[in-house]
Amino acid sequence: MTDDPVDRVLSRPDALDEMAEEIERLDRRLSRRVNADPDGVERGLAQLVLTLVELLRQLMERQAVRRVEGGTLSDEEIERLGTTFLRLEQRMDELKELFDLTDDDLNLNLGPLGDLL
Amino acid sequence: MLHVYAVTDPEPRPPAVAGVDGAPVATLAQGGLAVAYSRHATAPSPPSPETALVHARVCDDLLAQGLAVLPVRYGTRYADEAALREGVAERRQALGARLDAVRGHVELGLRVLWTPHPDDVEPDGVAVEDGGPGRAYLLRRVAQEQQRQRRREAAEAAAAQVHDPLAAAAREARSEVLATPRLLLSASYLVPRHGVDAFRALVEDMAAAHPDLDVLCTGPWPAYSFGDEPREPRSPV
Repeated sequence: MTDDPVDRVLSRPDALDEMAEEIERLDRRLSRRVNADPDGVERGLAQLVLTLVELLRQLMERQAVRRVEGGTLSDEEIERLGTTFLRLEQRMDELKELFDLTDDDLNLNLGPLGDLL
Repeated sequence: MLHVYAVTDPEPRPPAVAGVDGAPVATLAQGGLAVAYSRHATAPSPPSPETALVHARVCDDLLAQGLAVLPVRYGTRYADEAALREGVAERRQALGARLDAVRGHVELGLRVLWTPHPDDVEPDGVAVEDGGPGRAYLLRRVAQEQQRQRRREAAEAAAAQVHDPLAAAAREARSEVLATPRLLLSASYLVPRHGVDAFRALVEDMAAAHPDLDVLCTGPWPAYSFGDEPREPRSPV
């Protein structure tokens, strides 16, 4: 065995660059953490709080989706629920913009448990 | 402060390569196991591609000595030899069992890219135009959820076609489906040291049978992914 990483490639696709891009993307996701450095403490805190809010919002929304799929809701109830979630999403978008956060910032990798969202 | 590289069979020769930050690598025997580590006056460098390679070279050296090697996660530190001994003693049984599992074997890595079908935004048999914006929003979410579910199922099936025959040819395997939307399968296989060529032939046959997939196979590596017992399959969320 030598030091050259190329010697460890047993079988490669034609599109090796695409593969490398994808692995880098994965690497960035794995290394993402809540930003807690003193300079960005406000944004770090906003990130932490909004991460939790976003988790709850998505859980509730998924539950609503299941109820719609279950067919137990009237048209009126669907409209009311949908309007609530629509407004929640708009509000979240405003807050993300305010703190300069992206969807990726609000998703934490929980190691073996996978992604939070 | 001690930086730990790997747990191995006793008695390894001290690796011929330097450790992190140029520190010499020493070994210590404890309860029928050995540990490779280096001593640092200040905190060793944080993980980076360069330091990870240094760490890996030490593990490669031990593997090349014909020992069973369990690489330790980069950044694992102990205050001194006494703390390191204690740490190993606490996990002695589990570490011994994993060393037995990987002895005589190497790890091969597999990454498979696929091109998912383009998003179909319209929900199945629901007219989104009817009703107000709230209804439209929620029905769109229903459609997205169904599409996510379909994609997940399609990915699981496609990944199993690749993974199952390879896992059957390996002593142990670990895998993750859709680590990213394009990364269909990320898997590691524990294969006999002398079985690398045979396994590679299997991978190449599989790649030829699935021209729509991009397949990268790497190795042989020390058993980076096999330090823990196999996990029970995750139940669907």
